[in-house]
Amino acid sequence: MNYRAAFWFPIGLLAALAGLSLWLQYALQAPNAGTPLTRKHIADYIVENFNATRTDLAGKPENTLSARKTEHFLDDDTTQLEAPDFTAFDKQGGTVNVRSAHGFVSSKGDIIIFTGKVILVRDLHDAQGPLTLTTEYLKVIPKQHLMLSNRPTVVQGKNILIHAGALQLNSQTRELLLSHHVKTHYEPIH
Amino acid sequence: EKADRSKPVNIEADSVTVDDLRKVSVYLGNVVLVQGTMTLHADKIVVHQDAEGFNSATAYGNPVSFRQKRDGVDEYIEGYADRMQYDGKLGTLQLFDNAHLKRGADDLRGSYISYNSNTEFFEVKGGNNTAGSPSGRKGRVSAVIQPKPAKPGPAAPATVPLPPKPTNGIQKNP
Repeated sequence: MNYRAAFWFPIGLLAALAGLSLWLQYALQAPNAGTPLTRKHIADYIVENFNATRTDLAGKPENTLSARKTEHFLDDDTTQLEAPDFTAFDKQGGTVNVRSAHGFVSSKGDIIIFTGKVILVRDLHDAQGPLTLTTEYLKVIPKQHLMLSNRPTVVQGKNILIHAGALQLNSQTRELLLSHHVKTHYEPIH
Repeated sequence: EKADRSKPVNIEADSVTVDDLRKVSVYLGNVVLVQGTMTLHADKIVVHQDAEGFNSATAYGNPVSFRQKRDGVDEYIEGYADRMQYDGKLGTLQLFDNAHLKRGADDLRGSYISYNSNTEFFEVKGGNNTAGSPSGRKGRVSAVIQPKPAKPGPAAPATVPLPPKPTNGIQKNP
């Protein structure tokens, strides 16, 4: 009798273990794993006081991105930012800095979206002084040096105030296109 | 009015492209520029800025039109042209091509008109692109200056009519 029990006990144990691992795998993978709704949007890593710099081939900084808190999500490879702070440097030594309450970085890192009290300050270090843009939404495409918004925008500079419905800024060519009913106020010259 | 120059400039348009390198802003689409009593309507206005702010503007339209109140008089000056150049600092306005200026009942046409709102001095030049003058002759300046009504001054003293001169020695009874 002992011989039979000694023979069957390990096999039974192995079978139980196999069944357990199958059950575990089944439990983790929901039946319709393909639909996003049921996939778990869970942060796989969280970084506090995050800071990153992108440089050109010569090692010169092209843009920097920092945030109080960063959460990366495994399922879609995107990143959520808290209090992001982005700065782009142009060839003439000017800077464009963007700050907001929240930020989002696409999976390939080629698009950054800023939302909530977005403040963009463009400083060309010239006599006219910095230009400050405020809006609620801003989409930044660093590679194309483009910054876009389809929300109401206010532009404040020295002796100038502009209201517009949408904006497109090219930080390399330094051209700012404002559209959807523009109102500009120039202070008088004394 | 003279005070217009010290007033802020407000511009409304469909869109604007601000070129920070050259300090030039191009306004497009139903553009309206207002400074004090002056109003300018155009299809496109190019604004040049300097360190202090608004410097000058070039307006393009079909035509560009402007209207400004005259200083101390309840009367307006109106102008029309294919292109206008406005200098915010000097307060001068230049009208190019098919230029037409109306001041009250006065009417001026030419290919170029310059108008200084401080001195209210204007200069008109003929040329090919002269607004259709009443006489229809191209290249000429046309000006219609209405006589100003005589101001009702103090009553002139009654003049005693001279007795008619006797002719051939015969005294005429008045």
